[in-house]
Amino acid sequence: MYIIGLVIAFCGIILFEAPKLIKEKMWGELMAFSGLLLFGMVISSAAVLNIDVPNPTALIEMIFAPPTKLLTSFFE
Amino acid sequence: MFNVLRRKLKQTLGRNKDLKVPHDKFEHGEGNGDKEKHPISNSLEQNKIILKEIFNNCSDVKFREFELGTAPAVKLLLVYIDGMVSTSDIHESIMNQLMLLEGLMEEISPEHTLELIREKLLPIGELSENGDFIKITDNILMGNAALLIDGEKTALILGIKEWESRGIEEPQSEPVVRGPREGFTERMLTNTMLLRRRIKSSRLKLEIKKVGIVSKTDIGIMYIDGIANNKVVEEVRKRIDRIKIDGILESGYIEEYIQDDWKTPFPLVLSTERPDRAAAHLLEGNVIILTDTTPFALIVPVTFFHFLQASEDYYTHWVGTAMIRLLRIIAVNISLLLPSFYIAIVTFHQEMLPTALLINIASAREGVPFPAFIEAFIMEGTFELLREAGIRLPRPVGQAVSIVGALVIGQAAVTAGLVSPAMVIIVSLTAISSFSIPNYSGALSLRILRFPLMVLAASLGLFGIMVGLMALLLHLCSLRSFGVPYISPIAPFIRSDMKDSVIRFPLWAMFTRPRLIGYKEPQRQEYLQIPKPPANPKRPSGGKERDNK
Amino acid sequence: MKLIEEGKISGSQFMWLLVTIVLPTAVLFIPALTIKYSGTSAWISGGVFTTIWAFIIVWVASTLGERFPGMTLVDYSSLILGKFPGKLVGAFYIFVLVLTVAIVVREFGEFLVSSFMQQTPIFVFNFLLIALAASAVRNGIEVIARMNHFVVSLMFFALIFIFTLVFSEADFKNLYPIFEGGILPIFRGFFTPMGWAGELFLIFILMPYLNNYREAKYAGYKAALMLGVIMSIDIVIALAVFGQQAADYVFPVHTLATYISIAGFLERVEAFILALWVAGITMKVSIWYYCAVIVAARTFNLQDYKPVVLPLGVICLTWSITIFDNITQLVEHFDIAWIGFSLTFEFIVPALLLLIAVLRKKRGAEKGR
Repeated sequence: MYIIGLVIAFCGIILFEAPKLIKEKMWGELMAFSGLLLFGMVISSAAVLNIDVPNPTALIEMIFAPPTKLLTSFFE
Repeated sequence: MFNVLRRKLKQTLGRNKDLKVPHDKFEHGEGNGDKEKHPISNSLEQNKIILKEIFNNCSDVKFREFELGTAPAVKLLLVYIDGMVSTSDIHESIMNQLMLLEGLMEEISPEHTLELIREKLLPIGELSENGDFIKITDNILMGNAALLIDGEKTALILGIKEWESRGIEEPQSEPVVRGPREGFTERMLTNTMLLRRRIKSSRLKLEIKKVGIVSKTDIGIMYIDGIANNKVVEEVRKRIDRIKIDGILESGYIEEYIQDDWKTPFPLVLSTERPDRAAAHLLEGNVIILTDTTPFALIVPVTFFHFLQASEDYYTHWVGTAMIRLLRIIAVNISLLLPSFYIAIVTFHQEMLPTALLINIASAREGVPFPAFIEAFIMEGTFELLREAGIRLPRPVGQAVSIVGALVIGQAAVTAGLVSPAMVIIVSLTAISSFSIPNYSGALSLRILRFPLMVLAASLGLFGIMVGLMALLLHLCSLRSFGVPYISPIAPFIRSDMKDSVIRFPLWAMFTRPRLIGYKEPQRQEYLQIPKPPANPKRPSGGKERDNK
Repeated sequence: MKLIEEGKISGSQFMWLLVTIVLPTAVLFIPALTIKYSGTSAWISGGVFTTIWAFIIVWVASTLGERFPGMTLVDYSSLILGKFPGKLVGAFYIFVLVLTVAIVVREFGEFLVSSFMQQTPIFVFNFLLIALAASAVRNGIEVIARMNHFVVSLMFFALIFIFTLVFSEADFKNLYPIFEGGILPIFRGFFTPMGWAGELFLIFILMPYLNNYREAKYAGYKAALMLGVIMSIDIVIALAVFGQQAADYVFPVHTLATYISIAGFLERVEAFILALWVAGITMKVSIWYYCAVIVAARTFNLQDYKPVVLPLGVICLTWSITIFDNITQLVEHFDIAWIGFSLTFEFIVPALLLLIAVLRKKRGAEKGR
């Protein structure tokens, strides 16, 4: 159900931005737009379909939790 | 550009029998006059035939043939439109002078008829020569008379315009308690006169343009040279020149073509019927656009706060005015937000009300079959209907409508249990507030925006209202009127302009012109003319008291 | 070296933008998080220390920006580090900014759901907020700055409203004893607000849009000082009203608002206060979002920043919903990893950039901009 909404939303975004970019031949912009949108599409469909994708906060916690702990432990 | 338009016009209108191809040549006025020449010939007979063809089936165009009262009589043809020229001028200043010549018989020579008539015979102030059919036709249509002389390749254009027009009356749409009672009229020259009477300076400029391919309406751009921003004036000219339309019937036409953003519900051009207001704006550096055939002048650039100001604000005491302006801001908020607040609180945030009030409202709403949103929507809709009906109906019937409306809204609906009494109070408060906003188009935009806010309030409560208001703020911040940010003294914040926005400072404190509009010559008065009692502590009559001792 | 957008803002607009960058979420979250560690001396760590830290951040960011007048972050990091590492810095900051937007939006959504409208799914709030912010971003920095001017005054009104009206509830004995557990807890309590104060680092992304780049440093100091004062008052009032229990509330300021009662008529005005707060958060998100979009546009070498607005918005929206399971996790995240992370992107990276620029003697062309 949600996936239909998602598809409609993405179609809306593409229709809103892409024709103008193609008409004005802004290919760089089109590339950036499509790349970022593709990324957004992947993570949002994954979220809707309950597929686990790497979580940015998990990444941050993995990298920065140890130094943070070290830092704070001085002041406990 | 123009030719494309002409072709299109021909395509759409050409099938119309009124616009036959020969006519079409004379329908585009000055736009093409430079390129296409249609010189008149020196045979009066031939000119008459062509003019008759141009004004075919125009029964109000009069052709009067007569002869110059000289010995070898010279044939003359006077063409004018009945009703647009002064008949007495035709009789006394033209025909009388030319036909009943006395003592000039011997001076006449056939070569210099035109010079003779122009220099010696016609006692008329506005007089010019023209040898082109298009120009002559235009002039006749403008209300001038054309005098064609046999044997001459130029015609005399006699400025004897005079037509019936409404006198200067009190403006209906912007009444004041204190202030001049004059309003603009439909005649542009009267309006320019009203402005010149207020600003007697040669720096007050008036540029007249003709807009409308068929209607050829006069549009006057007025500004004070040296105060108005040249870029704005240039932009106004450019935007007016850009208008290619068949006819301009009201300044609203111009407004829609020159405003910066066509999607916004907010008015980006201020219209006024009051010459004093227009003059005040001229002095602040705004540009006034006058349109012939309408009493409404346009003022650009404007900010949102201009729509909350009345000309009277500057004539009454500043403390009172400051209070009234605050009151208007409250009125704006009520008119925009009150129904949606009611919906939000009744639907989502009952806990915000004190218990006693909550019980009252709840018990009043007990029998009401609709949710608060539907209730509010019905009532606001009904009110808008009544208001519209009240304006459109003939005045005697309008009274009846308002009585019926009062009964329907106030009494019957409540008794029947369709709406709650609280809702009636809300609707009437909203109505009163929206009436207290001085400018009609300003109030109209708030009336429109009320409804989306009500929908948001019904779906998301106060959060929805806030989202709506943020979207509104975003829209307002992105608007510009001729380059001036729309809510300018607030955002961007300009401290010196706060003197004349939310409240009004005393006149002596309004030392500068609005910074974004009149920055070319910011100072408008002597610094610090604070009225104060005379420096001498003894009053002039003080000596008397001592004398009595 | 071309600017993506032509918009220009004045010094005072810049200052208010900086205030909005930090204030809306800081006022809500910091009291509880600081009081948790520092107890009664929380106002020292949350107010005084953060102000000093903010000054340092402002100095680093604006010195870096002043060294390369009129250049954007990606441009001068390419100049300092070389082309590819420069783009990498840009990509890192896109990630940071988008993630921060997502977190701020999530904070806001959690706040609304937990204390305002329990039945509504958080998606609705997050979506509306990002939609508003996206349209603000598309309108450009000038419009954002103008809106911000208006909204800041609303926020200050709301804060003054709360603070004055709960004054009668305050008991300043709760502030004693100061320095309860020595200096260490104060430092410990300082780490969380450090992340917020450091948010002023956005100076070096926004600086090219300033009319006169020399005003940035001064505006930054003023904003830092103002934030310090507000945060101190905020923590003091929360402490004075709730005592140490303030740490148990997630949003002490919101709970403060529920205490308001005027003459038995205006009771429980917190919904009204919250509604005003929506405005503040919208602005905060818009500014961060704008920075993300600008950095992205510059990194990908775009002529126009508008095409990347909506895709980034989709990413923000998705992350704002998926990154945390609940509010406890959110608050914990600030404690566990955010301290180190924020220190990295707010202080270490700009400071390193500055250091390398000084060492390699790189500086931007002094143009009369």
